Amino acid sequence: MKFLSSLLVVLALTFIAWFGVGVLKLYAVFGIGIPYLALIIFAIGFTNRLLQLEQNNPENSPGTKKLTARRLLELLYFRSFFGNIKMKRQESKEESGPSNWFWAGVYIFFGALLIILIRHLRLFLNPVPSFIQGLETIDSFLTIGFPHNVIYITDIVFIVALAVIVLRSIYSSFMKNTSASLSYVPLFLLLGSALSGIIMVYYWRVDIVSVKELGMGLVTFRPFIPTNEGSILFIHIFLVSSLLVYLAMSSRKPMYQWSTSENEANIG
Amino acid sequence: MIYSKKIYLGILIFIILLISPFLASLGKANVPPVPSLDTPVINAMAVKQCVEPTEYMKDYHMQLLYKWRDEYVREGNMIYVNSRGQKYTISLEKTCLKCHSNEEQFCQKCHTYAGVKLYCWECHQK
Repeated sequence: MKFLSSLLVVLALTFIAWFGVGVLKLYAVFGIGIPYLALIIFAIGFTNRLLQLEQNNPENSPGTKKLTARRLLELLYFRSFFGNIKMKRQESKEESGPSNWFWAGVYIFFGALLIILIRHLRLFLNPVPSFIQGLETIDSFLTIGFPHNVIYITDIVFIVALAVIVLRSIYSSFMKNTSASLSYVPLFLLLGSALSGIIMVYYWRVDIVSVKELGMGLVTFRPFIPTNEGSILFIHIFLVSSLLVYLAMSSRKPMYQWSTSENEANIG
Repeated sequence: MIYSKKIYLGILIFIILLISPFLASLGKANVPPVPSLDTPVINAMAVKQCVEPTEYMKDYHMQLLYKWRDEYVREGNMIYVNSRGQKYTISLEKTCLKCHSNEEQFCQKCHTYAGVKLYCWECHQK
């Protein structure tokens, strides 16, 4: 039941945002202060992590060219999720099967996340660039399923992928043995961010013009505080901010070091 | 620790991507759209109120339109009773657009600002 403590952390964060805005009315803190702070922490923390990537063993380094190639493969292709070895050298098919499906899932997961992030730029850019408008239109063309609203395809895909990841890590013995007790925090933060965002579209609707005014206020440094919107907007912002801070400060090693041989030359 | 030059390039790209919305908005003012209520029908109204309160209409106008669509098309109900108990004919063209006859200056103002595409005219005729 390791995930329970992580779930409690995220529920506590949700409660803090609800209490801060719904009861204490700290709109400026949760709408302006925290997003700025989170972005600054994220920028510093992530830069720091990029610098950590450089720390490889010079005696057994494969050389910059090979290292760059490996990192590009990892970034664009998620090589480490593909078993990190070429298919032809895989000895048993059983081994490669499930990890290939997982690899495809990872691609879909990050793809959906990327599209969702790009879609959000419509709230931070005025006028909305045509490619973001186009992406929005393509992503929301389905209306079947929810009888009274459009569905964002990426929202559905993202939630399903996230659910699979959470269930997989709860049930698979590998993750059970290796995961620390709070390692579900980023997953639940993502889930909370996505759900609070979806709720705003389908159930507790907010005035999108006020939301964009808040967003534009942040990027133009001319803050605007929407005081008549529901707490759900600020819960969404707070969970996303928490995720940014987590990504900047978590003690996890960078992705490339998940495979120990990543920064070293091939032996033999 | 000596870093290679490439990592600085990477960091530069990361920072630029992160602050790109700030860069794109440099020197711009934060001006929200003001939808115009200046139409002959609205000007002639003694009490200027919409079908439902303004705050509700801002957030839920599309939900109301979906509800109207289902009530009219599927259930044959042509009258909508609002929260004040007043009756309105369920019709986009005869009720909504009778007052809001200035699509460019009313609907489009916010829809363009928020990047939400209007698709009324894919079925309805202007």
